[in-house]
Amino acid sequence: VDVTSNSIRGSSDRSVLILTSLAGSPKHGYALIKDIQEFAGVTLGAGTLYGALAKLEEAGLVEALPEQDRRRPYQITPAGRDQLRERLSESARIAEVGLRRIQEALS
Amino acid sequence: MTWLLWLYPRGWRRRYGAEAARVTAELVHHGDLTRRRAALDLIAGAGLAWSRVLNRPGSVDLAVRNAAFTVVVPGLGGFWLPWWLATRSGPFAPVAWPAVPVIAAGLALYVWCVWNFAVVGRGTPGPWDAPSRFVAAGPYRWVRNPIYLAALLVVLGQAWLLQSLAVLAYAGAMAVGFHLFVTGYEERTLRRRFGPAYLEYRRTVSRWLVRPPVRGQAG
Repeated sequence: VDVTSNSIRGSSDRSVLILTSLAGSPKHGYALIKDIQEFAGVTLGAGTLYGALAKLEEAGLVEALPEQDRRRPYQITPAGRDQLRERLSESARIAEVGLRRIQEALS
Repeated sequence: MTWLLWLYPRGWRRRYGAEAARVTAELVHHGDLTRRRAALDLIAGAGLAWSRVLNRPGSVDLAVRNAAFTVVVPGLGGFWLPWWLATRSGPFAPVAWPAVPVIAAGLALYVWCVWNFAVVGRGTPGPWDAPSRFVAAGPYRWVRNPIYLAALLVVLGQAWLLQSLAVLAYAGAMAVGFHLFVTGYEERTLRRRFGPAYLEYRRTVSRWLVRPPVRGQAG
């Protein structure tokens, strides 16, 4: 449990972006980058993408599917989904507090 | 640009290298990233991959054990003793500076060997703290006992640098000692511990003669 929660912290943003993308459907590397570009406006490179994927795979949060057309798709695991939900709820809570405080300071 | 993948640890490169190269090519081809950005990202990724290897549990302990071994065994036998032998009769007087690259080559080979013991085998070169996995990577694909050859290079280099017959004789004694230890203890122990994997390795890689590795051999 410790290993998984630590692995998603640290360089958390990339891991959350990848897990969010995979929460919809399995994707191979280039499709992942394009999807993340679309919903987050960030373009990951191959080095940081596969660096983060290796970490997530080792932690059991994503898994590789058999190669198709010489590309290897990745899918989120149930543990990955749980971690993502936890992380996003936490972010949502922080976002709510932050937005409320900005609002209060203005009024 | 794919040469940058050589910056990555071998395990990562084997698993993700081909995909990362393909995705990089696609990103540059479609104009998602400039070549410069893609190259910088590959360098950043190598840093991430290495930090994961080096942050594995027990890595600090492993580094300390290897440093301690290096200071005590090769430090005493490979440096302190030859210098004591050479400078016993007079002051330190290096005369053959071309010997320095020989010593440096021996040191580099030693570091490469220890790196393989630590990263691949998670152990040290000391027989009392040896890796639990069979290490047949890096220099061990060229010759079975590179660490002893590294020690001989360093000591022979010092004999040359200091023009000392005593150190040369010491190197000769070391070579005989190494051979007896390897054939009398190490090879038997390895055979008992690793069985067929070791016998196959022994069949393909020479004990003392450095030969290019056969392609496809377990590394």
